[in-house]
Amino acid sequence: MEAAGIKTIVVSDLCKRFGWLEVLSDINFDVKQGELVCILGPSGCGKTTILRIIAGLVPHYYGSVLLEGEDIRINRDSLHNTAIVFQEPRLLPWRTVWQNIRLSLELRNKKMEADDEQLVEHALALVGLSEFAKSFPHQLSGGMKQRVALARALVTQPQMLFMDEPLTGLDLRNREELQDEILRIWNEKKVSLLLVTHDPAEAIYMADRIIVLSGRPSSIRDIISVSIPRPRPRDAAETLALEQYIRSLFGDD
Amino acid sequence: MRKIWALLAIVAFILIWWWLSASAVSSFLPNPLQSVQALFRRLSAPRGMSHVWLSLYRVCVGTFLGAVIGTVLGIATRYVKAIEVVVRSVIYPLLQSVPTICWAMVFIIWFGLNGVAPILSVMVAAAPFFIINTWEGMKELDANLIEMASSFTRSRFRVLGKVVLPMLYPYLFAATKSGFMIAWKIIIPAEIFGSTAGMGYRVHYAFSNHMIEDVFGWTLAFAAILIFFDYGVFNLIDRKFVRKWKPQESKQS
Ligand SMILES: Nc1ncnc2c1ncn2[C@@H]1O[C@H](COP(=O)(O)OP(=O)(O)OP(=O)(O)O)[C@@H](O)[C@H]1O
Ligand SMILES: [Mg+2]
Repeated sequence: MEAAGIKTIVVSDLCKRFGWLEVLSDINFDVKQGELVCILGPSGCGKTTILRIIAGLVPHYYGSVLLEGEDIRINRDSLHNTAIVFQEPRLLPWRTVWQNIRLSLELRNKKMEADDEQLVEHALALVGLSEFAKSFPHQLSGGMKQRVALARALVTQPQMLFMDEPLTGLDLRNREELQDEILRIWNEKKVSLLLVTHDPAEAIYMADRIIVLSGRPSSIRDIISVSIPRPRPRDAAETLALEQYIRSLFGDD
Repeated sequence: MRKIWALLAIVAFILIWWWLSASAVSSFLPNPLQSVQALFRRLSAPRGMSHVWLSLYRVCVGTFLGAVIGTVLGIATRYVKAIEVVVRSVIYPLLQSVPTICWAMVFIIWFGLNGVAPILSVMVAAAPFFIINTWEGMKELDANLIEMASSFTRSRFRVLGKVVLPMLYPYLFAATKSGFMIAWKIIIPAEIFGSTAGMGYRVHYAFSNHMIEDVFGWTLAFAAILIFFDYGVFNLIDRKFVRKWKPQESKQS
């Protein structure tokens, strides 16, 4: 999978500070077409910040981000092929599930087209929430809300999907279920997926490659290729050893 | 139980009024029945109702103009620094501190007695409620939701229409309610000075000609209309729509 493919995302020499607080230092990595890459790091190390920069939501930073070969500061068109799922579901409380998913299309297009309805239908089915189309967010569980947020991103048919710890705050069963679901969708849609997490086990279960961040300011400790064939065992010796190694990287500072 | 007490209080109020009017000073205080009869005499006269409709029309148009101006100014302060400075340090204090009756006089000097002045007076009285409520709503605006919307589009206009404005609806409703109530109170003096028709004009006419029963009759009509809008119209809208718009649970997600 991580064989020499086209690099869809290239991050070079990325540095970011908020006022006097230096958050990211000299971040370099890339994501190839159709690859699933995890950004892994302890809380507060700047994972969300990296994702926000790549998604074009942060105006000031040092270094460059190329999406499909274009610097997003010069040509923002490639951002149209991306979609982001945030750490929280961020649903509009006055819209139904259906309308929440359609929101991203409404924001993207000036006019709604006829097959947009089908896109919403399809996205809803993809996350298994067809029966809840008419529900309001406050009637849903945490996991279901995250599924809606995922569908809202998928409905725009992105080539690159960014996910910021979409599974934290869910209980273990829900989390494992959604991990499998995300893997299934990633496989089906052939998107390049950049997934942020602070859970080493999750990264090992999901990723083609894991980018390990730590330190203050954060820098890349290691980039680990995971070649265990999918579906991966959750607690084989191989995984546990890898997890041990990753934790030792965190322990450095 | 509460309703029974409220009913008793109203009955007691009417009885005391009746008793007072029957005592020595009765020539200055007609009894309730006389007042109501006088009102109905006036309303059933040719073009009697037209004064009510005219005042209502002026209140609605004035409140609407105040709503548009107040909301636009309120929202613009968020996006344009120059407008923020002007609104905060000149327009809003001016609207707040100058008695509306002075505005009414100014408008009569400018526009004469053709009915424009009362409408503009209402507008000036209602606008600050929309400015202040829009600011209040903006403070609560969920930055996360706006970031989510911005991730799907570069058009600030679409973010405004799909997310910011709908988020402000409950605040605009509150402003409409207070603005409308104030409008009813200001339309009377405005019409006394600046109009040759309308309820304010009629009550002034009755006053000048010592038609005391008519003065009381019109006063009852003002109270009745205000109570009708407060309990009938606004309360109903509040229960049916506004509370659904912003369910409690929406905060946590
Ligand atoms: N807009 C901002 N202004 C100032 N400081 C910020 C801002 N955004 C993030 N930071 C700071 O940058 C650092 C990294 O934040 P970030 O949210 O990227 O971390 P994270 O790795 O996503 O953490 P978590 O796992 O808790 O989500 C934190 O110290 C945070 O306080
Ligand atoms: Mg984060």
